[in-house]
Amino acid sequence: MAYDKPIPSQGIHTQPFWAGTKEGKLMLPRCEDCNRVHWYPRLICPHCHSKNLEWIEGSGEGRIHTYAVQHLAFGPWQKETPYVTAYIDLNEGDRMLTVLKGVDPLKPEEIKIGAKVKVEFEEANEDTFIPFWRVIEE
Amino acid sequence: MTKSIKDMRPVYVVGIGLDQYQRKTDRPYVELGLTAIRAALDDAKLGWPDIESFYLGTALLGMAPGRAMIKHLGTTGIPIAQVENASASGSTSFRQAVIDVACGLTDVSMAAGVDKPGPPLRGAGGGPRDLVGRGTAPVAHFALLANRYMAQSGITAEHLASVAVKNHRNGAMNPYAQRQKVRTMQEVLEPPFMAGPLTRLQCCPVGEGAAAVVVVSEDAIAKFNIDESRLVQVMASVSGSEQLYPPGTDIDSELTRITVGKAYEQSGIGADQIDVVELHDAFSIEEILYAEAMGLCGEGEAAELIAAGAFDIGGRCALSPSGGLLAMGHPIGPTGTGQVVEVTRQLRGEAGLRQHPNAKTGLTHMVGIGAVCLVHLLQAV
Repeated sequence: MAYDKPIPSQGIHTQPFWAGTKEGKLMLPRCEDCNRVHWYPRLICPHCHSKNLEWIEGSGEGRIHTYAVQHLAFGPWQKETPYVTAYIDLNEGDRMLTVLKGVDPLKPEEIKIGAKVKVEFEEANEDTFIPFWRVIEE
Repeated sequence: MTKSIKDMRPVYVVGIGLDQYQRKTDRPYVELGLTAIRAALDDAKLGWPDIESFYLGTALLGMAPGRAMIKHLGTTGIPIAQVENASASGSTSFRQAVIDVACGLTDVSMAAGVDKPGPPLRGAGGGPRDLVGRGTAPVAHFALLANRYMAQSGITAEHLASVAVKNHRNGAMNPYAQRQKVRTMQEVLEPPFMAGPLTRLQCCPVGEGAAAVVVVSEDAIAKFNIDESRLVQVMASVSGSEQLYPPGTDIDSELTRITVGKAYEQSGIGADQIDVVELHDAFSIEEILYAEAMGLCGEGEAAELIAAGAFDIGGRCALSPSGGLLAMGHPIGPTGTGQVVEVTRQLRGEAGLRQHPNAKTGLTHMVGIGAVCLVHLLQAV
């Protein structure tokens, strides 16, 4: 089925991220001066304000920082409720909001904070693949 | 060398007014705002021509709604401006009025807030930051925080819900509240769930409403012979926005901790002196997080203390005596100004059934998307 959710806009400074998603890679911005990874992509490093940013291929793995079942949503997400959102602590640092795949929203007690997750990508259109995360190990 | 409000001319709240927070009605916003403004002027025993500057907190009414409203009071040529700062719009309009008087730009200024529910026009977003964000409601984020807090602290769903039980009980005694029903623990815990552990009664209603406050200088108190027995002084006014915190920091708590910390430092008032607090309890978990961030109790203690009644009216410190956003409601533009109204009423000893005994010092706190935080400290003279 065609992807019917809102599709995030693209810009010059986020192009490497979207290019990566097409190849199944989670590209992450890292500062060449302070070596820290940040999410979401920016024009300057939010930690040290340097403009010397590079892109690295992330491991695509992380852990659940927290999660919540969503019963209320807008637009095309509405018909998906209940679904589970989570903040993912990326192995490389910083945190990403996502929709968790492969979990039962009717059994939230089975989801564990700290569980290992892996990224996967869903095609939204030919230029845009959206990252989602799936629990791989408790 | 910069100054804080405490180093400048003293500023006093002398007039307060509200229009009841409620579900959207057919009444135009002009009527809501004028009701609150006239009540504040009557309370101060001042007339509209005495007001030297006017700030209107509003987020949902579009361009320049203030002038269309206040023209019904007279065209006096004063400076006016709309103030939009998301949920903190009404707190920010109050701060602007306070700054005018503190600086000596005016002797009498008014802050107000008015809104009616409608689709907000949001600022720039988009890009990878919004991978799922555009599909979720504000409650989504706080449900994530609630689950994290519950897992870390071991508190139960009942602890979380006790915030809403307390605030509905307070709201039931407030004729200006949108929700005026006492709710049992069982009622609060009942579905529907909005997100995570947060049920409907643990989420604030967004309706319509209006609030207004008059602030004056000592010169104005003498000139207009204002009743000195009812004076409430503004001891601190702090406005802040999100900054970069160390990795892993809870942004919402940290922004509040820093902003409130500045207010304590500027005023010399400590957390242990605070008698009443109106805070941003849009969702039950927030009252727990912010009570701890304000230093009203230790980390991880707030939920059990709230459940045990420590923050009831008559407890060690009254949290959300108006009913807070959860019961009084959150009409957006008016909310922050309305907090000043409630704290002023408490510090004057005029809060009736909701009166917290011997209330001398109060704190108001709003956060807004952006992310911004506004804190004011008020004290009975």
